[in-house]
Amino acid sequence: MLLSGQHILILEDEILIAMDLADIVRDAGAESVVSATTARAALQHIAEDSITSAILDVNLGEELSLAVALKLKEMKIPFIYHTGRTDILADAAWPEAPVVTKPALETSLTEILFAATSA
Amino acid sequence: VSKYEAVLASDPRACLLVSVEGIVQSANAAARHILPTIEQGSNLISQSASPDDVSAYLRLCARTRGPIPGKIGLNAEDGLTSLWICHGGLVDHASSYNALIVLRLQDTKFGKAAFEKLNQKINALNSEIAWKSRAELASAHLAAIVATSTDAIYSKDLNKTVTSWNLGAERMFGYSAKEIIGKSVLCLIPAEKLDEEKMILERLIAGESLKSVETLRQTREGCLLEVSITPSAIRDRSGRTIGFSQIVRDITARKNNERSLVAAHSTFEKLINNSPFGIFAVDADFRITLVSAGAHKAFANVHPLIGRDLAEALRIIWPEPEASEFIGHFRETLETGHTYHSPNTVLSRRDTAELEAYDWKVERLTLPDGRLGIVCHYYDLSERQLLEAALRESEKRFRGTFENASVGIAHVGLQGEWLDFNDRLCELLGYSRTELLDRSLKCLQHPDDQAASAELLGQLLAGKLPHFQCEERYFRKDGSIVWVGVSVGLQSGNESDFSFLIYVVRDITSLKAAQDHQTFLMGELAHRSKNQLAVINAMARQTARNASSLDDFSVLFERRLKGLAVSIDLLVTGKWSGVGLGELIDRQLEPFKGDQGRLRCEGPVVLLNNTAAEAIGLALHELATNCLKYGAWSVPAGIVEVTWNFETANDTPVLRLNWVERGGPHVSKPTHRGFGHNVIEKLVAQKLNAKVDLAYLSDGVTWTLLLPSNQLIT
Repeated sequence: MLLSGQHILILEDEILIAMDLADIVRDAGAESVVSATTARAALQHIAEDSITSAILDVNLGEELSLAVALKLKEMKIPFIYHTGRTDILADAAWPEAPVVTKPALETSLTEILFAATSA
Repeated sequence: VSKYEAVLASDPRACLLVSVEGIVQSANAAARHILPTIEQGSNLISQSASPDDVSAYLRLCARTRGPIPGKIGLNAEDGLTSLWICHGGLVDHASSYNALIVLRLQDTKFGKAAFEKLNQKINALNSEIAWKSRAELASAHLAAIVATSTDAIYSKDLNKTVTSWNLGAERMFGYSAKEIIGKSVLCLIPAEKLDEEKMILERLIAGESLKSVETLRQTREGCLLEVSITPSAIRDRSGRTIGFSQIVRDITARKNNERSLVAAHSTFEKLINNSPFGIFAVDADFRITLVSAGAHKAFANVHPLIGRDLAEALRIIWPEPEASEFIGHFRETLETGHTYHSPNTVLSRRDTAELEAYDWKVERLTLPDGRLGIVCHYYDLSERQLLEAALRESEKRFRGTFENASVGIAHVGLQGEWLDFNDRLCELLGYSRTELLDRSLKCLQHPDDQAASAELLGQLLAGKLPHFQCEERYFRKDGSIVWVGVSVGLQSGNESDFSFLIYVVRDITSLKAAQDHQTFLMGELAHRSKNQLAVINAMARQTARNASSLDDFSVLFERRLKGLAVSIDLLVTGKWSGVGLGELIDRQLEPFKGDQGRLRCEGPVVLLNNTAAEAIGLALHELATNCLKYGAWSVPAGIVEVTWNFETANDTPVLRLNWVERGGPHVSKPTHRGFGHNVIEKLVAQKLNAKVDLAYLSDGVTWTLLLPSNQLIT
């Protein structure tokens, strides 16, 4: 299983998508999945849970997930962006990470996340 | 007597016929001519100078026949006695007492003719004496004139030695007569004039008479004098030149006058000729004598100009009757000295047909020739009038633009003081003109916008910006806020002009609202376009996970898609500015509710925001799906009540929405939490920050939503 042993954080403000992503990574063998709809909740999960990788939406409606991306980079936790707003990522402030554009194929999402965790 | 009268009349000599007593009986024409006092009846004896001698002579004649010579002196009227030689003789002696005597008279050297000659001589002598005495007087006068003349008069002999020297000469040259008489005149003549003097004397000696000569002389002190000398030769009886006289007049003052006159004349001419204004001078004969450079334009068609009769010139330029009127003014000024001034004569010219305007003035003055003349000076107002008309037109247009512009316009001083503003600005800010004058633009500005506009204004005044635009809020008189687009430009003036700011202010409140809405829509669009497909994707996958078959998936997915579409439909209908809760319920439950009366809705009018409308729409769809499949609507008697009302929870107003199923089959909490369950419980709670309570009661499902009021549009 591609994501065996992974403790995955999903940051996604659209709950239907978050649910779907959770199902996908679970199906791909993830050990555990936590979802957050706000950056604050996500940072809390990072601090309290043992996150091994993450899927970040970029635009959270009222905020961006930049703080979370920076925190993950600082903690060297691999992550991928899952977004329709690749334009926002053009800003150099964003740490480099693989980008999966919405809507995404189930397989490409798990494969790219796997690649990120294996690097 | 008459017998002798005829004889006497034929005698050419002067004959008298007298009685012995001396009574004249008759006298012929010749006798009457030479003796006008003698007539018939006159007494010759009593008129004679010696009556006894005459009486004795007549008695002698009366006694003697034949002519007897004798002498008779007769007294004449002029007191002189004329002496006559006469030959008398008796012609009738009828009686010795009445004897008639004929006297034939003959003039002597003491007769009348001789006296006349004498008188002529005396008269001639008298007039000679009178002339001589007048000549003596004249000579004395002349001497006095010479002595007292202010002109220097002196004479010199052939050796140039001074022989006479008058008082005038003493005064003029500073030498007294005593000093200079007997000395040479050369001391009076400057070296450079010696040749001239020599030539004058030569010409005089040759007999030429000379007119006065203007030359130089020097005084005892060595000062040069400008003089006019009148030299003449003095000759003796034989015509030989024995000396010369000189009359010397000091003309220094006259020369100075002449020079200053020439200078004045040339200054006058220069003044007029070079004047850029229209000036011309007309002499006493009404002829144009001087024309300034600036006046040539007006007289362009008058050739020749100088010396031309002014009346003629004016008639070339101007039409009648105005030309004659102008000429009249010029003549009147020349005659009376009254200044004439016409501040604004506007007239079409005769020669060019162009309309011209002049401010002109005519004054009399004494021209350099010493006679009276007139000077006319004028301004050509034609161009100024055109400019003024253009300026007026421009001002009118500007004023019209300013007043009728659809935007507010204001001119504001650099200290923020009003210079001018139009009515539109008053309307825009809701103040009357007077009220607005009492307030500055800045004090009406929204505090949050002041810093930004002050910064831009600073840059404009520092010359870093040519102008700027900004969008700002102002408070209207009624307290409402008006959004305006302001364009500010700087009219920078130089020293003589002043600088001010030009504000163009337009109301953009509705534009701003439209922009806000558009921004919002763009945000919605961006949000939706990025997420909608992902949502549908997720929805499809979730539906697929729980579907028992492909058909089952198709039906469920299609319905969910429709439910989503209904919410979006309502959002579009409401122009993305809210959806009524009642309407949302109606539309979402329409496909499920079946018969009339199986759905009861009750609640006040509530407008949900877009997120709430979408989330609640999805939840209602899932509730209805489950209800139709497992709940109240799965049996004929079951009904659903949807009610909503406002209440307060933890001191904050919330909307309570209740979904209550009645009359359905017994329900129990499902073991598997599928997509629908997630939507009903999690999605709504998380998305709307709402509290959701889902209960599976014995008579049906109840779902309660406590929605924060910030999800509503008031």
